[in-house]
Amino acid sequence: MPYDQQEDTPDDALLVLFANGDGAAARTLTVRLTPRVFAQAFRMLGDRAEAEDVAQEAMIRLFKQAPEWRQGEAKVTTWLYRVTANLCTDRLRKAKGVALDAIPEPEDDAKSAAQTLQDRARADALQAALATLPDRQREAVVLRHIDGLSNPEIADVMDISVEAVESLTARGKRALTTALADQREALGYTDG
Amino acid sequence: MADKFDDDMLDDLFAAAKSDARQAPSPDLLARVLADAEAVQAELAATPAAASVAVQKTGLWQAFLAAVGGWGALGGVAMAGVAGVWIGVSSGTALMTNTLGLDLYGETAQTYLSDLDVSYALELGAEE
Repeated sequence: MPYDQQEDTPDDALLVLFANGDGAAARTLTVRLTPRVFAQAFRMLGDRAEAEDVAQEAMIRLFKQAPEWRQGEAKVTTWLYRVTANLCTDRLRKAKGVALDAIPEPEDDAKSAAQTLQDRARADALQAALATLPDRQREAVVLRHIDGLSNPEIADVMDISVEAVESLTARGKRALTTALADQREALGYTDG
Repeated sequence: MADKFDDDMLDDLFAAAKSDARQAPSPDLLARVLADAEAVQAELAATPAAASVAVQKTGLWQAFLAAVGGWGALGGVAMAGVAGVWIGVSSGTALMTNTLGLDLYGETAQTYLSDLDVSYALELGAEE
């Protein structure tokens, strides 16, 4: 099947094609799923090089899983989120503190910069604040509010109850608010 | 209201994070992942027998199950079979009559094809 005809093909069907040696399926899976995996890893680790390593490893695991993938049993993206989160957690445990140092500080002159620069400063500030959260809280907040997963999906990824997800995201948001409290004005937020 | 303000601020920050172009993968990463994909495919192609047998075994059985409607439907078929046998055994010869009301079991009277279809009777008559 040509590459441009696979845009609407479900992920699990692409995995079957991939296992049968379809080169176009390999390209479609790479282009479709690598950005998600990388973005998730980057938000959890705060470091591009580390996130690239994790994304590459997660995708290799997916490709190796392809021949044994049971269609309709698990959602490919849910499986990938779980693998990526586990790989990130392993790295955070091994190098506790290193990733925090690598996160850039918010730019002081963000308020006077152009909108794109301000957005970048805001993203950096959020990233720095996320890095202060416990791993499980950060994972739940990122999956819920940035990756846009539903609570049941997150419960599946993290292997916990929906209530536990709600608790983690609520506590995570409160901690983020506290961490960002003294940067509100610098980031262009004024309580009117 | 502070809570509402904080919620709005966080929502805005989450939106900024979502649209942050720096979270897009580099072309180099995509190239590396694609190279990995092709390497894994080459490994899979090197052991085609085991892979294809596994796929075929699962595929045929799954296809059959899907065609009949899954395990639930198979259970229904089995139950219908058992019910049929039970009805046959318990009713004896009571059900062994045809649509003309004739006894097909043959205990009380001889049954001829001409009883079932009069055209046979005509043919027999012609031969006689």
